[in-house]
Amino acid sequence: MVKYYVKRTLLGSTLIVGLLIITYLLVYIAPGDPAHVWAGKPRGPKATEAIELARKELGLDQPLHIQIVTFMIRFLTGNWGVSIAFKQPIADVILRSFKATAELLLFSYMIAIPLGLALGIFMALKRGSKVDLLLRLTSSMFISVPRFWLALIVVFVFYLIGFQSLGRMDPRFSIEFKEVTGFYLLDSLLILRVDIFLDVLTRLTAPSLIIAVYPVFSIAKYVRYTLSERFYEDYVIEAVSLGISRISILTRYALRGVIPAVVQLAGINFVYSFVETTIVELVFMREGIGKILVDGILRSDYPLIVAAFFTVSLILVAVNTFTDILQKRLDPRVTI
Amino acid sequence: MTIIATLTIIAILSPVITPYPDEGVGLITEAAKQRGPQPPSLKHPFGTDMVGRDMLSRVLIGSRYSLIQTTLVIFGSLAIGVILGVLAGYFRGIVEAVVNYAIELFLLLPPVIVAAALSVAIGPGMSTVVLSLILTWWAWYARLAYIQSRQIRELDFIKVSEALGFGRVYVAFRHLLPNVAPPVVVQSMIDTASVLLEIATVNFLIGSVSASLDTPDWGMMIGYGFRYITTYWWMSFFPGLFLVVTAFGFILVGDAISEESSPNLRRRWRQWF
Repeated sequence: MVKYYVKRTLLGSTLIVGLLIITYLLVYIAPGDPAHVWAGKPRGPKATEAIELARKELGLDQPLHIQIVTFMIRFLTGNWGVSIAFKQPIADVILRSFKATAELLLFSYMIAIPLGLALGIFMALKRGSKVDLLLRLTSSMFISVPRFWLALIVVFVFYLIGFQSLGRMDPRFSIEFKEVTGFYLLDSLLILRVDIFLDVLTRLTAPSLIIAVYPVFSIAKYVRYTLSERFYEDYVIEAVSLGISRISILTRYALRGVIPAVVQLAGINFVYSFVETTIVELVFMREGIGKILVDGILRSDYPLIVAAFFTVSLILVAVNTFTDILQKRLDPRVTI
Repeated sequence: MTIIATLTIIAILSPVITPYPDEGVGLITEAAKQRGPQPPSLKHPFGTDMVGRDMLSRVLIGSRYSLIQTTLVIFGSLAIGVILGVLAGYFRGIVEAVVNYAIELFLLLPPVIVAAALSVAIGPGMSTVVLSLILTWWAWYARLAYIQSRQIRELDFIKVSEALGFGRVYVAFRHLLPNVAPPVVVQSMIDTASVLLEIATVNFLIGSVSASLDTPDWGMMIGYGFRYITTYWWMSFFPGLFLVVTAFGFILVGDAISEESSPNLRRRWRQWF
């Protein structure tokens, strides 16, 4: 058991090294010559000399693998440089936006997983009936609506009925508001302001429900499928013949095998949802990774985008490692 | 099926049936300049965009762009994924380890951010979108092909062809590949809708940062119109509607395929539970 955890964590950390290499290659293909910029875009007779000097100073004359190692050391020690778009250290900008995105995403998954599970069980029990057919059509429908478009329509409708939904909180609270952890829901409770808490909550609910659409229906679909298959297994049929009640068969036998897979599925969906979150929060004009990307592209802030890329991938490595370990705890048969 | 067939026909015929084909592909005509943004009317059922181009024409022609991009992404990632997966499944040892590591790694890359990085590095455009999607999508198919080929490798006919003295590369591609490919291709048909929506998402990001928009791609049009949602809602509503219908069509096809390919659920057993 412990051996598996160690192995999985080690795999996770080697993935981080791989990520750093990809990140560096992304930096490497960046437009323009960094040495040229570092030397202050020199002109005149001494220009080539100055660029050569800058190249040496930046370590660009070294072979690629040595460059990658130095880059890794610099990156892992938290020296990420300064953002062009925000004129602040990149690490600060990323951390701040990341908290906003994480708040939204975690909130939406807290809704999505139980809801998807419940819906899936319901559909499996009613399989073949009209309700099941209707729910399946609805879920196909909802999955085929692009979430950013749904978000746009919701924003537009809210605009028409005059409901405030944009941003993370009402601007008039921003003076009294103090950031403690960077998660606004938590902060508003910590400074004991119920009105701010409610405001933050209402603004959080709409986007997180939209993000929850995909995990809810994909989990429901999956649970329905695997659970209905399980109902034909011999052990379930035997349990029925022994006269064990339906609820106890469901919770004690049939569901047992489904839960670990749901954890795994939720972990995979998380990657997908992260992408959606960046766009949905953009539509709702919230801070977050999505805004960083847009600002980064608009101002050609390449280091910022690369850093965002690295952070997000890092989180996804962590999430995947975590779900794998959780799955192992729930289902000891799993091996790497 | 009907939805997809209709859409393909629209895509092929779009230059002929659209009322304003020139405006559809992005030219700003004199007539358009005078129109400016207009709400939906009888003359322009979907309204007109910021520079007065007819949205109906643009949306119809946009179906071409969506279908082409989806096809490119699926074929690209299938090619890379199946070949690498077969190689990893057939040659054990170092190849297997490296490919599996790469699969783990590329499964994690978020396409939107890759697209953002690429669009700064090599400029935004359709090739950026397709490239970033292929980069992140091939790993799914590689993993599937890997699992398949690991099972098939152990079957007798592979052993026989090895014993007959055929080269290992020849056996891998001539005998293993044709048997691995079908289930992976089926899977790719099942998740066409996801590819379509993912492409649209990336395009949305690119559309929302571009100053002017000529390419009539649905995702880009939605992203571009998003800034004006409160005043010119039709600019992002109609492309989105087409996107929804298309994705729905692909999902129905995918559902049908996956239902057909799983024998367990097709058996009509007595329901005990």
